[in-house]
Amino acid sequence: MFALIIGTVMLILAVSLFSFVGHQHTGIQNIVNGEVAHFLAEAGINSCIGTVREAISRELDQSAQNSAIRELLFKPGTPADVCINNLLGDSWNAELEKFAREVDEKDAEIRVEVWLRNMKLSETNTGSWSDPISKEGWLAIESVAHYKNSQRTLAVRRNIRVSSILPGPMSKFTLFAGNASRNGEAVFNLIRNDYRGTVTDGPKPLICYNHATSETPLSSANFGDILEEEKDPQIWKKRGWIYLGPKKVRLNLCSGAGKLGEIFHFYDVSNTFQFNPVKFATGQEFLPQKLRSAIQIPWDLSSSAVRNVSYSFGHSFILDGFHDRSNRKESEAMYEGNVLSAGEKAQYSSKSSILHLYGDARKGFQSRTKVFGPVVAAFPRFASLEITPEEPDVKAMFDNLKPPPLYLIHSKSENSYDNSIEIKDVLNRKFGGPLLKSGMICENYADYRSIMSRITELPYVSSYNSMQEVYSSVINRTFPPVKEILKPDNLSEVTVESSEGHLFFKGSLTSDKVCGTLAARVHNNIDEISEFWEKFVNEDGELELNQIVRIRNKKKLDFMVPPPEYSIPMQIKGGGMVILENGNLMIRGIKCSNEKEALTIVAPSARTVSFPTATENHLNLVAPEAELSYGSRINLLGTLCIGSIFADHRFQGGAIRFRTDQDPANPGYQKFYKVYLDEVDSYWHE
Amino acid sequence: MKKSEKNAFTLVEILVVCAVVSVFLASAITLFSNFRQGFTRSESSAILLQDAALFLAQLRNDLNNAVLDTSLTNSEIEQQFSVTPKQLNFKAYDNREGAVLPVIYRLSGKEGNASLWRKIGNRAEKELIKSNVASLTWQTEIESFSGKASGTVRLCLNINCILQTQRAQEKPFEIRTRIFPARLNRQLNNK
Amino acid sequence: MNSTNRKSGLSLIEIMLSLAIFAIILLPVFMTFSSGNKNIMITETEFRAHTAALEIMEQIISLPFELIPVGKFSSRQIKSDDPENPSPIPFNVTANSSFQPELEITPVKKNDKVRFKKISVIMKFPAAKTDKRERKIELKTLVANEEI
Repeated sequence: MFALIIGTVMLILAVSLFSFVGHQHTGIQNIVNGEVAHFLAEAGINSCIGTVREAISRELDQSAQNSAIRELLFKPGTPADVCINNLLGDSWNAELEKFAREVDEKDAEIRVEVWLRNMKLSETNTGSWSDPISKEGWLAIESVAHYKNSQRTLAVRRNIRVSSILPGPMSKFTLFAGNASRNGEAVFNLIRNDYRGTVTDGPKPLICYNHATSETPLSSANFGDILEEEKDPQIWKKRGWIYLGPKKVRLNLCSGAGKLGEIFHFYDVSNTFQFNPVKFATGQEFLPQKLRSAIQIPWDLSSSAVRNVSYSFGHSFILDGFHDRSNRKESEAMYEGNVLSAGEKAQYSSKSSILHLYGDARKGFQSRTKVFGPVVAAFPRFASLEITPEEPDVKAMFDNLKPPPLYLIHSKSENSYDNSIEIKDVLNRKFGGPLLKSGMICENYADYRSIMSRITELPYVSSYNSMQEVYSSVINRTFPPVKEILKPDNLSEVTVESSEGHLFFKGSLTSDKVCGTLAARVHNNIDEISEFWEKFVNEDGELELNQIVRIRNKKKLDFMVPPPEYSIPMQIKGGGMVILENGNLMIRGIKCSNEKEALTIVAPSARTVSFPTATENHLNLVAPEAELSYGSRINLLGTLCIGSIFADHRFQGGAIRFRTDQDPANPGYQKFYKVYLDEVDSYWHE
Repeated sequence: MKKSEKNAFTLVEILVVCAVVSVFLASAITLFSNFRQGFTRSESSAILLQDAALFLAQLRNDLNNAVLDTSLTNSEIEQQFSVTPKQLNFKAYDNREGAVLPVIYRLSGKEGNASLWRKIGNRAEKELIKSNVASLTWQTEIESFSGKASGTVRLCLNINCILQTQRAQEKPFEIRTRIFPARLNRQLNNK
Repeated sequence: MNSTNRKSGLSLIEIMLSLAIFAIILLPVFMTFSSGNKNIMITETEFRAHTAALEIMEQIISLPFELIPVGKFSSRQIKSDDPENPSPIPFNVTANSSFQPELEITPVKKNDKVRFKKISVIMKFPAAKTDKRERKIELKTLVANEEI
């Protein structure tokens, strides 16, 4: 009995030892096999990493046509983890299979796969910029080796990022001058007009074209299309916008865009060489009380027979942009008839305007656009009193007069106003009209002022809306416009969406917000400007950037683009974005080699930006603290975001053409993404 | 009476039986206790082997992921590993967090019966070997080559590990080896 | 009376018989035990051999590609005790007389350039201390020339 117990206990012990040792043997064997698998995986990575890298860089190459990987990455939304071996033309696994067979006839296996993993959208906040395509994640080369029952995975991962090289919400703007008023309100036109009249060599306007023109390189449009587009009241959504702020900015729209003269948009330009002013009727409710009913007034033929005639009144005016085809620009060509008071003329001047937001005078070059901020425009308003005699015989006298009677209401200052100002036919004719004095139709100066000719300041939106009436050929226009198309907007509720309805941005737009969004996209940091040119200019002297680079430039040197040793304009073969942390900008001429490229330069702390040559620049420039200083004529295709513009007589003017393909509302926007693959690996086991 | 006489064992019979039984019992007990001892010894040495294998595998894995500390200059290569008799520190890529994290191997407890702990990043420290470390030394060794390979260095960690259980009935398990962190060495030579 | 006599005789046989049965039971017990013990030894030897092989493999792949020597290296060369035939690079192995390592490194060329080196370490060792039969394990890997 006793023996049996001892025997059983020993048996149990022996069996448990045996099985324990057996288990342990397997455990240690697994560790050992694991190391063999590790070397197999290592062999897998080592043997094909070069080939895989080549295939990846071939596929990601910006000039590659129809790259399936790029297509995958540029799809809006987040791609799920996906193995892209087949897109890379997997040629390595067959070789690895051979090597595995050599190591062990049946128990070894190696497979190398390339995966896109953990891809997620990187810009998702509509308060700063929500981009459906920008994303980041890992490009992983994974070598999985099996040996007997052990498996080891060796992964080499690189950060992969897809980001736009356009300046976020700024890409919706032609011109964004954040400090155009230099914080001083009611100072006349701080986007400085040459109102002191010191311009001696002709007007030099800075013209903003907010649409494609037939002369726009990279995205030329034809006249027919542009004119067709004008019919759409919502066209402003598809055009470049302008912001001038933050306080009141006055634009003086004056004479002179060169030979053609400036034809402001209140002229009907259906025939370029024939200018028909557009007349606005004043609604009854806006007339002084006295004018609303007919008045008995002696007629002007009193030399023959004194007679009181009953006249009824209407009021109309022409808002006049300046149209000066004469050679009398230096005098007062647009103030014909001395209708405007000397004081007003002195205050507003008749000389050149340098900021011309509406584009050119020519047909097909006039932009209708969205202008943000408290921008007002000053227009001469020629007011006429429309007089209709109620007695048929007098009416016949009026009707027979050629040219028809015209009673302009001259502008008067309050001091020079009295009740006895004569209001008479502009040609001083006597034909049965009323012997009219100001007191008969106005109670006081305020009444008179509301109907007199003058230089009037309108919020930009109002003039824009009036322009809409001109374009939509509303007959019998009244002022204010029948329909408000746009409301004043001070930039606090900006909405940018794509034509498919994706919301990119909603909220208040500030330039530091934009700079923050852009800085978060940086792929690479560089210390010196010289290093930048060394690294990214190719043998042919072309810029091949293809990424988003920050230049620290601690020495605060000027960033000259291109530097003097390169010829201008410098060709951009691979676009990108440069964030210049310190220093000022000098832009000397940059040209994109094709319509898929773009260059954005962001200089958050630059104080000045200058264009020393008149060469064209395909560029988006974001320098919200800088002043655009005088230099040569500006020739820019893209977006200009600047603090203010220093414009005195040395300012050469120029043109900023909105690049319509860069408009987020345009599907062409999707061309401007770059794929960046980190230059450094991260390794690990799993 | 007669019957009882006949039934009784003789003294010799009893003595023989007693002797046989006691010899048998004694040998059975010795056998059993020897067997128990043998079992304990075998079990202990198996446990020690397993401890050593797991420790070396873990360390090798960590060293495979070891990353060059770029803040160090060439003359400070040894400091890639900060080595004290009780502690081994280096930096390694961690898969779970996707970042370079400090790795710490640490000995604690009584001399001769120490425990080995491993900690990575901020995660909880784990005990790799419980009370069985009789002695464990780790030293960095750097070879500098001459001739056409001059300028090349090779770094390794020289491990000498002796394990023994607290009962100390078994032969101590001793293993000595060098671990060469291959990727770290490649980084060193490309610096 | 007779029966009791017979009984007492049988009891001795019984003891012998039970001893025999006991022995028969113990035999597999001891066999199991010793094979367990032997297994521990085999596992240990294999583990040591494997550790020694890893040591060689790792020190080779720790070298820059161009310094990885090509050719066959004998156990004596690896253990650096063959002064007449020194290896082109110094090996740094932990001494262990019972293991016989061999190393073979072959270049793999593509377009006339050495793209890979195939490294194979063979470790020969006696199965256990008491068992002199030779066993071997093998490790293989590829190292790529990163310059290409």
